Amino acid sequence: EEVVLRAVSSFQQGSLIERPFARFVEKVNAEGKGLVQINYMGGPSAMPPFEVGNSVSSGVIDMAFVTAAFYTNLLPAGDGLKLTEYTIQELRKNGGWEYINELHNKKMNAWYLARTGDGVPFHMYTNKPVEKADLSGFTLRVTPVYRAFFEALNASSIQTPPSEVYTALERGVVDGYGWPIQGVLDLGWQEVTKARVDPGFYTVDVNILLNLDKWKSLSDEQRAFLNKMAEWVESTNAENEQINAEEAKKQAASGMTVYTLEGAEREKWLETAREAGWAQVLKAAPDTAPRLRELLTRSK
Amino acid sequence: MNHPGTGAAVSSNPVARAYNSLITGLAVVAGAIFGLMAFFIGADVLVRNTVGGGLAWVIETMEYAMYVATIFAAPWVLREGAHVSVDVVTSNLPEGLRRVVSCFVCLLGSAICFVICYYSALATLKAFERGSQIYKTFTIPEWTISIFVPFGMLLVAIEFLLLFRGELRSPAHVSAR
Amino acid sequence: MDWISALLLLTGSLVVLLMLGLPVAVTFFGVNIIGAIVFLNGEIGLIQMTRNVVTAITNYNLAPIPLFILMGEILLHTGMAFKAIDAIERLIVKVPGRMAVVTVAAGTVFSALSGSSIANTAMLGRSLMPEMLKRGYHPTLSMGPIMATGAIAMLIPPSALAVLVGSLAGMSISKLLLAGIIPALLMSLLFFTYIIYRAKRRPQDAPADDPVQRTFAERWVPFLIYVVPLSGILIVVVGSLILGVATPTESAGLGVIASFIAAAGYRTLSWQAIKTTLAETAKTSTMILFIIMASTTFSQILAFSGATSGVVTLVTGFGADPLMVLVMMMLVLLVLGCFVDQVSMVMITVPLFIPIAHAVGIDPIWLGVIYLITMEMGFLTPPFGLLLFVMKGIAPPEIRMATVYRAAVPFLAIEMFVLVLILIFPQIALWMPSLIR
Ligand code: NA
Ligand code: NA
Repeated sequence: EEVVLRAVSSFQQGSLIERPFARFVEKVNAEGKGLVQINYMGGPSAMPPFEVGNSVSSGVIDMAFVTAAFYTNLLPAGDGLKLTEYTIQELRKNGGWEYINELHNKKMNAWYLARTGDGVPFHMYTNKPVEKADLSGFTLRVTPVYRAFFEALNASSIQTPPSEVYTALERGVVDGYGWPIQGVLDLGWQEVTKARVDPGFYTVDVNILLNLDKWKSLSDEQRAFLNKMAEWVESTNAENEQINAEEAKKQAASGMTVYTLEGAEREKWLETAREAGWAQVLKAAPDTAPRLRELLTRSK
Repeated sequence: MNHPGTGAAVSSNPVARAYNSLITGLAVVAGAIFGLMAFFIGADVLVRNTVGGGLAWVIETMEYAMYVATIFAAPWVLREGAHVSVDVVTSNLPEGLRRVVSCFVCLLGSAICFVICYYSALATLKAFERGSQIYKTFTIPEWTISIFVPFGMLLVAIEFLLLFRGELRSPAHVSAR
Repeated sequence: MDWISALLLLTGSLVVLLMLGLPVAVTFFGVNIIGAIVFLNGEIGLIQMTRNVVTAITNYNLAPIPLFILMGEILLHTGMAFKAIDAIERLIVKVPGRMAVVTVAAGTVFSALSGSSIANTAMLGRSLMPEMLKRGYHPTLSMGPIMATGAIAMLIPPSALAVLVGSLAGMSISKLLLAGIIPALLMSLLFFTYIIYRAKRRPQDAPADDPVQRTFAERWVPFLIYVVPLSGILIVVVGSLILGVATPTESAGLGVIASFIAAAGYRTLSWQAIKTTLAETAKTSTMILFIIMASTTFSQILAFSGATSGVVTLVTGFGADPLMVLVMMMLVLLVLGCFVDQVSMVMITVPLFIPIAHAVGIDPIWLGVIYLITMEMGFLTPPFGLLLFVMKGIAPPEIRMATVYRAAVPFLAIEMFVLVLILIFPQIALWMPSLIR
């Protein structure tokens, strides 16, 4: 018998970051006839992004496409997913996926079906030159993803809503912001951004979750099919390298330059990002963070 | 047209008096919050442009402040008859029918607010049991934020019932505005 | 449930409850209950809906609304607004319908300060409307210009909405903002023309008060005393924006502080004035924010049910003639404007409209300007529109909803006329941005 899963995305339909899920839905619906179908209800206009986690947890929807930063209220350790140094394929082998899934099961009644965003780093974008790993004198627009890192480098931070970022940059209220390598052009921010800072840090995590009760109610055949689809969508993470390169090219074409940190400054940049990130996870989830760090990182 | 009154304002019953001061007191708090918002936002700008750094907590605090103030003032605004409604139909009804509709609307409004109150109370209870925290600038237990909805909705529901009582007693009507 | 039934259920119950006279906010809450049960999976959906209500209101984007209302209330209750208006009136002589003309002028000025048409309307309504009614203006001639200048606020920078549309649709935001200027000024001009024409035709609607002959000094001294210093408030708001000291929301906060300082300077800042100011601010802000709290959640349920995308796909599915497609898009926006806030409207329609626009070769900036004007009109078209409700909320109680509707209609017609002009002559919008290629 066919099951229809109701799904919601926490990202705007048609945006670059949402594309893997749109393709996933298309493929499931094409190949899962008579077995599994997805009814894609919509994006942020249908469900507030920060409520997507709760709605998949309680069963209002069956499936969610959402980044862990949006459901830290349910899974504080989720903040650590962006700190992974392994691909999801590697995590499925080293026991990392199993632990992440267990956390999702226990803390938020969800099944961790798949992860997209591997290979997509975050960057700092700036209108002032950045020559070393020190942001004293910078005022940056942050979200909780970047706050700890930027503040550890002595920046002051403002948390404006996305709709005010453009004006804040245009008028010089902020000197820069953090964002993934993909998506700046989706938002039109390249018009008011002078440069990107390399290297990137962290890894974007946008996850496909299922309500746990729903997952358990599926037949073995249905679960096997969804796992196959998950494996497929995770294999498309390999395309990110090329998409990143295209985005970087488009940023350059729109007039953005790049400040590249080298040598010791580069090390300090990455080290500070990592340590500030983990310190935040450890504070929010002292019981699970150490194990998570063990599984997600190479440098112990 | 007079403001529709609830009739509770002149009561000598101590419970009613305490309740009335609660409604008015909450409204006063709401007014103070709306007033203070400007000053905190201004202070934030000032600090950021002089000392540098700015008051990181201002934006998130303003969001909660606006929410709390809206909830706090809502019952009083209903009492003052200042929640807008569409009177295109009701103002053209004959007096008898209009009062029937008006009574019905008071009861319906009360029922709606009780339902919202009940389910938002459940949401709050769930957040409390789960120990959910909101991690933004501050780390706050989720239930301390969500509890304002059931609280405010309960009071709005009661205000609707008082309006209903007033409607039975005198021809002041909720849909007059 | 198919989308047509979903649409009928949600909008049908909305219409019935509103017509019964249930307060607008409570009506939206009531329909949300029905929608949550049917579309969000029963009881867990009801719980989710109450959570969404909290997210709807804990939104910094809404902060300018109470702030600009507060600014208007200060100007009003300290008497500064009356003195300023009186002073401006002394200058504008021999113009029929002077007060309404002043309203449009003030509205256009405030458009350069505010990106929120709701805040604009609330502020103008609170400060100018009581005065106009007192002087015997017809209610429709006092409310119409106040609501109408909301459209100008969306078109003239700063405009939060233009930035949102522009960024989501991948348009050049600076070009979009430039494109809005001529249509906005054209609207102002036509509003003036209409007011003067109507005041001449029906003098009883706009009493030609003040036949007093004044000397040059009598006309200009009050202006220097009561208006020129007030422009300091505007300078604080605009200046803080231009200098990069503050974001748009923050500049509203600074505007409030500047108004308090001005009131203190005029020695009109009594304890009583502060109390009334805060009470009226709480009343109007809560009325508006309570509606937004419930209606934002309503538009989410509408989108979740599939009704929204159903309507949009149906209407935009007509042929490939660019003009026809544009007209259809405008229809969708006008219909959505009845039920949905502007931000949600943009979120819902941009992903569907932009690919279509690209496919049939519609200039994106042209589309953007049409978008902004149409959305603003959707707020004003009877029977439902957020600006209509806001206006009703701040008008004296004896003013009926039907009067608010009648006030909006002529100005809506002017906006429609400008819209058609832009449809036929895209150059009205596209000429300014073409200068910066
Ligand atoms: Na504006
Ligand atoms: Na409308």
